[in-house]
Amino acid sequence: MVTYGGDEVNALVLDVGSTWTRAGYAGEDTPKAIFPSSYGVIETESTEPNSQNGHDQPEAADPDTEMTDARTPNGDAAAKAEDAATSGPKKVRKYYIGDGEVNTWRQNMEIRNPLKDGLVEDWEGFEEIWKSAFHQRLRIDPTEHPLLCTEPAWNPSEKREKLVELAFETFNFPAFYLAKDAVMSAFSVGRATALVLDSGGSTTSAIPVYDGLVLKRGILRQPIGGNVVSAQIMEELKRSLDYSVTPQYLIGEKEATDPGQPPKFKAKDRPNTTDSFHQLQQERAIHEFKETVCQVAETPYDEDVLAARPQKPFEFPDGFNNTFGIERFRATELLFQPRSYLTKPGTEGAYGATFTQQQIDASLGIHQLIFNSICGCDIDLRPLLFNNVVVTGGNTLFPGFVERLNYELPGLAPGSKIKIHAAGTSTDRRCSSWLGGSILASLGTFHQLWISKAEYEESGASIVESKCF
Amino acid sequence: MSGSDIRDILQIGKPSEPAPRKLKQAVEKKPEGISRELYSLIGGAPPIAFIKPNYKAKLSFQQKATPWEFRQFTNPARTDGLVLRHWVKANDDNDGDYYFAKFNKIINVTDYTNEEYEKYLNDPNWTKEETDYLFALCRNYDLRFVVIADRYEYPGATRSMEDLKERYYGVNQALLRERAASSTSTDNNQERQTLIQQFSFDKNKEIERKKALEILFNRTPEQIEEEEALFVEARRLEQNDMKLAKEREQLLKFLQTYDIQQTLPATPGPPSAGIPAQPGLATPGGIGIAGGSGTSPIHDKLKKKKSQPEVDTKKARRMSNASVSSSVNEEIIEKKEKLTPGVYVRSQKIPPIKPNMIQKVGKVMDELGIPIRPIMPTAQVCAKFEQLQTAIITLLDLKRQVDRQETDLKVKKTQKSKDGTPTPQGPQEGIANRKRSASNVGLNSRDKRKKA
Repeated sequence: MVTYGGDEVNALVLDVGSTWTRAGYAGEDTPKAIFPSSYGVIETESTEPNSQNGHDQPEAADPDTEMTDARTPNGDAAAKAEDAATSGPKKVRKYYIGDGEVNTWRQNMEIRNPLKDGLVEDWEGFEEIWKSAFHQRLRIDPTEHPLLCTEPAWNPSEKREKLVELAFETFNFPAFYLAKDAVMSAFSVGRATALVLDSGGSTTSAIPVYDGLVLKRGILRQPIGGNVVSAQIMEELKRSLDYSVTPQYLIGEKEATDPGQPPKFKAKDRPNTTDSFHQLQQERAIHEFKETVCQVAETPYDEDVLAARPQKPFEFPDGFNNTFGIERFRATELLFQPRSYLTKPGTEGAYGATFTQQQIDASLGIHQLIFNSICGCDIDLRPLLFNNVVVTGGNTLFPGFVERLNYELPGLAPGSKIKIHAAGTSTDRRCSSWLGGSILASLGTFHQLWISKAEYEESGASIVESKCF
Repeated sequence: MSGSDIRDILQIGKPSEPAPRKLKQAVEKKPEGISRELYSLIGGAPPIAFIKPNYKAKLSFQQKATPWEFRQFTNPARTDGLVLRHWVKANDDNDGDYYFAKFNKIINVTDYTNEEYEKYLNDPNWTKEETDYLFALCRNYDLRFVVIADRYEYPGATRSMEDLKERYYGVNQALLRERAASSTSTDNNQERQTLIQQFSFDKNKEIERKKALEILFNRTPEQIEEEEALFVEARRLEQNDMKLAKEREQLLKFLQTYDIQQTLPATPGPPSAGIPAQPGLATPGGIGIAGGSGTSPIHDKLKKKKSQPEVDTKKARRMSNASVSSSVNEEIIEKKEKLTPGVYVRSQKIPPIKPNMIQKVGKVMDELGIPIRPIMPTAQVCAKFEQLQTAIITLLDLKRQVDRQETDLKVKKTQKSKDGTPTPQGPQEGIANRKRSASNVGLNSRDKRKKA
């Protein structure tokens, strides 16, 4: 233990991102559980037993997933009363969390995401995610393990305090620590000082980290991430091929069709499907499209040059197939040139999140985001940051992404030596903040930093501000 | 098959002690003159290559495994006595301090009392509360000023990193000074002084430094390119300068030897007496001094005279080596000086000609009708012959030099006529610019300015 400075205390690491939640034991190299942060929920009147869900897996019947409204014992009554006041008859919510659960079709199942802009908005759902992670997936007793949780660098203090409360009051963890995900990403590639570019599902952010501490004034972020890319791909498909994606759950039978021909399939009867579920399933299909087909142009986007590249075929779940050429590059170009490639407001057929003209004008290409963020830091620090650009997040996994950055950044900062660090494997890049947390929480020298339950009880939730910076 | 193979097959454990490895027997050396095949037949044959297999020692299961225990521990670096648990070997009864607690290093940030603040630390720009706030941040972030400046959020104050540093170091310096004054001990005065010096912080200098860095950072690609080009150019100019100096030296040497040739025969006498008076003699060291004004011979002479005495003897030797002198008398003295043991032929003493010159010299000799070696090498003949030879070499060198200058002149002239602008250039500059391409006209003018 002495040689590598590690000392395992059976700590847990939890990293809730806008798309994926990662949970596991500190000291391991990959999280034990990775599941979507989006969850399904069915609201029923309490008088009615959940009879229509009889076909659910036995796991879902676990008492842990049963709705529990209360976070704190004393807040229990109040919350319930409020619930009753707003929604009339008492409602029972049944949660479906996990890849298999969320993607199973159920009548009236709403899909929700507890995070907005990387911040927790829906605390009830967030708590369910914690429950699912600890009780169903890791199957541990929270009182036996310290917990390290990640948060976005721009988390406001009231949300941090709420997180601490959640850990100590609801789950009874003996010790807790709140770490910035950007810092963790930097640690995961072995750097204490870095500029962390994290492009995930909902947000893209550039965060300077100095000696393991986030420099708040350099933080830049914008809500242009993988979801926007997906939405624009869907628009593009609709516009150019007059095709809208039919997800797998609707398809009963399908026939092989020629490329570009409308799909021939028999739809399943799926009554009372919620819009959010349909959208999630569509996004899944698009996600696969992105993973197989899409690419970032390694050099400045030039349609004529890129059109000469070989085309790639792709078949959607309903049998519609086509080969894609320039579309492969056009969809991702909005990451680097959002001003020219984001859908303008008021465009017909706009799908999902739309931006106002103001937002579009304020948006920056990823390379510009990095550059501006670094320029917001002290001049002495800039060479250090340029030399340690850490690229992470699932959205950066497009082939050509890092090459493009390598091309664009030196153009912005001609005199600086620029080095980009991007983990090679996709798991590493998607779980880098978890991995950093895993490293941190397994270090012997870290154990003095935990917020213990005793400290929490003594100083209250505000202790998080003085212990975790 | 070796013993260990058999043991392996029969699944018998290794003998507790591995058999001592046999030392390599010293191989008898094959006597010279016998073929290998024969030698191996008559004995002393080399052993057949059979290396004893060397297996890794098997894990011994004799020892009892040390059990691990899930033990509670407290970390003395914490104040709240949080109990965590980790796995340790049962025989590890280190119940003392937690191993990692010792890494909890705390940076000492100076403290001050209210009284001290009132007395020494008052600053119109800073309130006590804000100073306290700054010091709390310093403690919190272990003096990482980058972070401190980033997190500094004192209501109603915007402070740059330099402001913060200035205040922090200023307070420290003042405290050190005052405390040193109040404490009567003078034992570690010097130490204190160096400490005070360490805390000195020049805000303006720092701001200036950062500004300069900023400018450096904000260069455009074109600027960087230009800078690089200038750098390369400067390097080339430097090299050209060196080349120029070398060429000038060479030229002066020729002129010098020519002068000697001209003057020496007229002033017979011992070389040590005659040479110092020679005009236009350049010493190797003198070139540098004369470098700037190579065209004024009087000036040169003056300068050279100064450096003459030190190199006098050296030069004398060189002169005599070249056998510039004409008198036999000298020759004899010379010969005496470098008497070589054994018998020799006098004509051997004639200095050899440089190999690349032999042909040319030979040609001139031919023209003069003199054989390449003196037929009757008496002392006098030899001396004369030597003189002639040197004269021919000098002549050839000068001729080559003149040719070169002439071509230079021609090039310059054509260049001038092309430019249409009069470029007054001496032969010296001609040498410097000779290697340069005509396209670099802009460079040339810069060059000239530099020389002026």
